[in-house]
Order: sequence, then C-alpha cells, then structure tokens
Amino acid sequence: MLISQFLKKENVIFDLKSKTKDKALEEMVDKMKLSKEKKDLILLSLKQREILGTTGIGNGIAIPHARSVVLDKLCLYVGISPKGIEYESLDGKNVNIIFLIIAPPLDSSNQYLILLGKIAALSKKLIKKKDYLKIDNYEDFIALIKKLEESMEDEI
Amino acid sequence: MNIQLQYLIQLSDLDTQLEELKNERIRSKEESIGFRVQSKENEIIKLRENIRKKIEPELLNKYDKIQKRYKMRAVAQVNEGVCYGCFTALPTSYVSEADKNNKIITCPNCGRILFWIE
Ligand SMILES: [Zn+2]
Repeated sequence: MLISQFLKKENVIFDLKSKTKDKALEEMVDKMKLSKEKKDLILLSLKQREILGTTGIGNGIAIPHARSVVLDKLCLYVGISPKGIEYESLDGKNVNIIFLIIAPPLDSSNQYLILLGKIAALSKKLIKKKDYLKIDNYEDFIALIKKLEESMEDEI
Repeated sequence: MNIQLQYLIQLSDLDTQLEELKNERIRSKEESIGFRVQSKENEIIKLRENIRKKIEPELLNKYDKIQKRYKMRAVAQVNEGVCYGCFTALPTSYVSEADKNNKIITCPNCGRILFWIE
C-alpha cells in the first residue's frame, strides 16, 4: 500500500485558510465530495476522536483520524499551512501539515491502521525537508512524497 | 437523512472509537505512533450522554440491545444490497428507494440499524 496512491490532486490542499484546529478540520472535510449531512457526521467523528486525545503529535504534524458509518472507503487528505494552526499539540507547537484519515467502520485487512503507521513515519521524514512548506503545487508535492516512500522501502 | 438516524450514526461512530481504544493491539499501535490517548473519562461520558439524550427511547433501547448482542457496530452499512453487519443480502424490494436513510430500517437477519451508503 502506497500513501501516494491515496493522494489525488483534489486531496491535497495548499495554504489552508484556517487558524484553529476545528476550523481546519471543517475546511478539509468540506473538500470531500459528499452530502452536507455526511460531511457533518464525519466532522463529528473526527472531533470526538480529538476529545479522546489530541492527534497533534508534535513537530508541526497532526494526523486526525476517525471511522464513520457514512464512508465506503478509506480516504486521505493533506492540508498544508505555512503560517501554522493552533492545534493543542503535545509539544504546544502550531501545526503546519495535517494528514486527515477517515475510514469506514469495517475494514478487514486493517488498511486504516497500516496507513496510519506509514503516514506517521513519512511525516517525520517530510518535516526534515526544510523547504517542504514552500511547495505550492501538486506535482512537486506528490513527487516528494513518492521519493520519501521509496527511501522508506529501501530501509525495510 | 432521518435526524434520528444521524444521532444513531454519531453514537455508533463514538462507540466504535471507544471500542477500538480498548483493544490492546490498536491502542499500542496508536501509542507507538505518538498519539496519547488521554483519560478524559468524564468528558467522554458527558459527550456520549448528550448524544443519547437526543435519541428516542425506543430506538436507544434497540441500539443498546444490538450492541450488547454483537459487542459493537449497532449501525451497519448497506452496500449494493448487502448488510455489512452480517453480510447477508437484503430481500429485493425490502425497502423503497424513498425510505432509505429517511426511515429507521433494521436488517431482517441481524437486526442492526441500516444506513445505505450509495
Ligand atoms: Zn444484517
């Protein structure tokens, strides 16, 4: 399973407008091609997950994730905010990149957890590339993700 | 979409999360990634109660019974005519197009509350 396969052009949002966690989640979920009712339910599920514990894992990275009955397949969205978002992260720092994962309640092959683990590993590599926040187009971004994924394969 | 169905989905999604975090394997995976699952028991109980208050007693009763019987997932998806709770095909013309997600419908086989994904 490759992260880049989940990231189509419309799944990557450069320059998030939001300044806070709740607003950023809303802005990202709003990009989904679903009815308003479904989007609202997904948002609720994500916010419920945040109450259980923040998904801002530090170093400017957040990986909000949740399951919802209204989804039929695993989805991944990336949102980038060079200015930073207040996210109640573990290290108190603002968040610059959000990987949002949503999954259906049932997924027998555990793709959801596997993807979660891969993204956590990839994001730690990504933030070491100092200039990643300057990327403002899909082609450059996906090329970088693919390159990082390849280097991760080599390590295994 | 039926408003009661929306509340039931919200409750079901929350219960799925709570159930997963009780699962040792999933919890340790989350913690190895760097997520800290805080024990805000009170906040979660309050949140769960607030959702439950909005659901009609009869439906809530149904939800609790199903959840007790199957441990989790009281709301199941219907995908291409199949209940994803028990993986049984629903009888053809079991539900009219207009009633899908607009009425509370349960699976004739497993009793789960149904949500049509398509
Ligand atoms: Zn069923």
